Amino acid sequence: MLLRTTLLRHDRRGVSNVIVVMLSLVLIAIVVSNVILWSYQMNELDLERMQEKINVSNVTRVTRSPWSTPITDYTITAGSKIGGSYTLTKTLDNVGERFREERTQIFNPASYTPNGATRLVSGNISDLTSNDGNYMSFRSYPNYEFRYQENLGNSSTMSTTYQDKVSIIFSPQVTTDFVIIATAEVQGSDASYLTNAQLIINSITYQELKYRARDVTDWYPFSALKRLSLTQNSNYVVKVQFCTSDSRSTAYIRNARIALLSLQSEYAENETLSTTGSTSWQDKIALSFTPQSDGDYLLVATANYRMSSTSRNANVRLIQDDLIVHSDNTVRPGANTTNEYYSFGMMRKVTLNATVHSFKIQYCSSGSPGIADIKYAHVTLIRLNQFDGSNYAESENESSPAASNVWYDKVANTYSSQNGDYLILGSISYKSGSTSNSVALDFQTDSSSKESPLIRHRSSNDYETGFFMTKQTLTSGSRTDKIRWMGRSTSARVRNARLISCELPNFTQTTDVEFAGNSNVQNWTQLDWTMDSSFTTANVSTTFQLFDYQSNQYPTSAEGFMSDVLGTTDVTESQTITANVTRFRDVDGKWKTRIRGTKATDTQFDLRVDLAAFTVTTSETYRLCLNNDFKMDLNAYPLSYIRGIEILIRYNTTVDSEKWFLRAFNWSSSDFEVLDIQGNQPIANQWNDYAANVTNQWEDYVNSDGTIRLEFADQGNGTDQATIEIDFQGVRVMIDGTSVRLKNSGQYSAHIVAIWIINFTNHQRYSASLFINSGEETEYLRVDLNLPEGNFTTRVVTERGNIAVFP
Amino acid sequence: MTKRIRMFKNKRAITPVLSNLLLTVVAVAAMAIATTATYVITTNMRENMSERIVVEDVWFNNSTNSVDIYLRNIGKVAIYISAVYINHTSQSFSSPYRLEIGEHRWLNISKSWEAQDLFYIDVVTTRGTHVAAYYTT
Repeated sequence: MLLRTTLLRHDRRGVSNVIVVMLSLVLIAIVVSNVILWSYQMNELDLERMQEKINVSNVTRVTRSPWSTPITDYTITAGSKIGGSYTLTKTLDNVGERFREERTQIFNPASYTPNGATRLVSGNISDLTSNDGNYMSFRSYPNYEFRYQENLGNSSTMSTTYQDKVSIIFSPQVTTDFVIIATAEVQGSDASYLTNAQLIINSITYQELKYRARDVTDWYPFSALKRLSLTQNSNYVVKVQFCTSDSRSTAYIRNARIALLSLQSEYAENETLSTTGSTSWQDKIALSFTPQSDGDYLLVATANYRMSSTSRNANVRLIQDDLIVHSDNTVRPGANTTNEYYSFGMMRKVTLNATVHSFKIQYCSSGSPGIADIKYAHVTLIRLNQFDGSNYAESENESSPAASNVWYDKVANTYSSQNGDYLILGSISYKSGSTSNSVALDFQTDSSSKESPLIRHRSSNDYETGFFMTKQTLTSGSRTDKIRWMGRSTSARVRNARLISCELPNFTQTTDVEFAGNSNVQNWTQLDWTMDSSFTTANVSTTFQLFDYQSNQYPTSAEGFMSDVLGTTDVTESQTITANVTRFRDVDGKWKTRIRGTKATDTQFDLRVDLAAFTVTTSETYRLCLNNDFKMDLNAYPLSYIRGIEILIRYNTTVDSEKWFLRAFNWSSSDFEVLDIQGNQPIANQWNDYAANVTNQWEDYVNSDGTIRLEFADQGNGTDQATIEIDFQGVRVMIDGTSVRLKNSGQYSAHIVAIWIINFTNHQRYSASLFINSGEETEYLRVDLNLPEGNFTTRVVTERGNIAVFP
Repeated sequence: MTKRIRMFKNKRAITPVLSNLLLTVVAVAAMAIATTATYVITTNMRENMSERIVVEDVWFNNSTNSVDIYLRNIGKVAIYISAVYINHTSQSFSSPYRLEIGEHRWLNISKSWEAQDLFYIDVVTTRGTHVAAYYTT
């Protein structure tokens, strides 16, 4: 023991030898095991390849798909079912489903027309054929939209970047024109700098004031107008902003208001900068239009203008028909003239007859040399009968104060208000008449001051405009709106003072849609029209109307008219008409019906129409009309490889006095079209095969999901009641494809990866991916694989690399 | 205290440690080289063993006056075709011709031929795999 220990201690190479031997053994083991593993894997692959056995027993051209047969019960629009089931029509076995001709025929709408701004939300016209919970849904639209926002407190900033004063974030329910009006008052703490205010919509400026105060106590009126087409469901941000031109001066703003309303209006604008050195009036914009009838309009106009010289004035006016001057104003700028823009804003009620009228904003220089500039010029006319009511007062003559520092009423508008919202507008022309004294204005509703500008002019000739707006929620009673004024000196003057109070209409939502269909021109003895519908909200007043072609209008009572208050549950409304029935169709048998639902709300809702049916009973003919859907497998037969469709129906009829027709539903025009105008003349009481091929424009008859809808109907002139038995009905597509019959005789599943079609002129490879289980035989159909004429060889290649050849 | 004095006096104590350590380092380094060499050699061996190629079609193309060979890689490594021999004569073709695992495409060889000619076509990969067979035009 002692000897062994000593030997080991003395053998210094022992440890390294052990390491080398051990690592060598590990390496050898790894190498050997890997070689064995790889060898096993590749041998397995080779073995599988050797044992794989694929046979091609036949390769044939395929020109037709298998028959597609009915997948649901037939829909009967005329006639009745007397026995059997649609499943009996799937096979040719002389046993079928039985139907009988009747004297009633059901017609459903073939088209629809949304009225007003009603829009289709979901569904299509084919959803109206049955009361099955599949709807056509239509979204309501508002009579108008109105938004108002105000921020009346005094805000200040020393920032030279625009700051928000008041904003409206708005998403219109329908795409339409909106008139946007904004007002405010601004002040600057330093008469050497400017106070700026602007109207922006989605960051675009549409009106901009750059006011240089004559006196730091001034409150100068800002007015803005814009008409813009706003898109349904898009977001808009409308703002009045303000800032100072220099951080050494503080800008103030108060009584800021914005109103948006979507009433119909006439409008013109010119927002780019225009200049003139002329002392004659120059047109900036001209709005020309002819009213459809005599009526009252609210005229509103705004602009921003400036003068290049501190010793000249810029003049601006609004003139109607080149004759009537509605506002005539002038301003003289302070130093640093080119940076300043002053406000022009006016309103007036005008009564127009139905002839051409023009409204122009004109401008010029008061003297030469001097350049007058103008931009952001807008003018609009809103017909006043769109409001529920309006009250107007004006005082056009120039007034002078009997004494200074005394308030006088310039115009007062007294009226009886109803419960509701009122938009109250006013405007006035004013001048301080003195360069050392101001003129004060006060726009009041019911003795409450809404705006109170104070302005000192740089020239005793300056005559500017003040434009005012507010929205008031009033109760029933007597109201008085006023524009008051006060001169710090007796040189102050005012004129062209106007006030209007417009009662805003109540909000209502309406869905209004017309459906039109075809029928026949036979003698009708009875007409039943049926509507099944509901809304996504409760208490919607709904009218159903059937167009009367004799009086050329929709009836408002009696026959052809139904009304109800509908909610969220489907209600079937039906009416039977037996007298003078044919007045509800035109000479071609066309008819139309209308559903209109209204509710006093500003929230949109949907009309859901489940069924619209127009059922007629004829006096002399028996009719049968059936339709059904057939589903094509578009994965197996892609549309691009289909050459046409083939239809076969095998039927037996007890009467042979009329022909039978096949029609296919055209998904583009949403109507059935006759496939064979000759029709099929049957032999009574025996099986008749009626086939039709469609090779032109067959795409119109195949829906995107592969549905083909077929109608089978009689000619419509048979006076004998026939019984029909349908043994078989099917549709198949015409293709030019190839079927390869394959059998896997090997032990393993085979994966076919390619098929070669080889002839003398071409070797064409078609990629494939088909798995065949061991022992299985299958028919592999390829619609994209066209066999050549003459002799050819087919070669089928597996993933493992084996090749089967036919013949 | 006596022990410490003895250790300082044993001048041979450090040499065996150093020599053992050195031997171990040398042994490990040698094994690392051996391992790397083994990896390289076995990788090559594995690739050689895993190479499989199949000729799906040979087209004696009249219109282009060429012999077109459709090859598919059914092995487990990418392959490069290094040479194609027709009747034991090397043919030129568009090189490099590489097929990834599962890839397939034509290999075109410009070669005139007559009807009923017999060709022995041999396709050789860079790793030495041959796929050869007789084909008649």
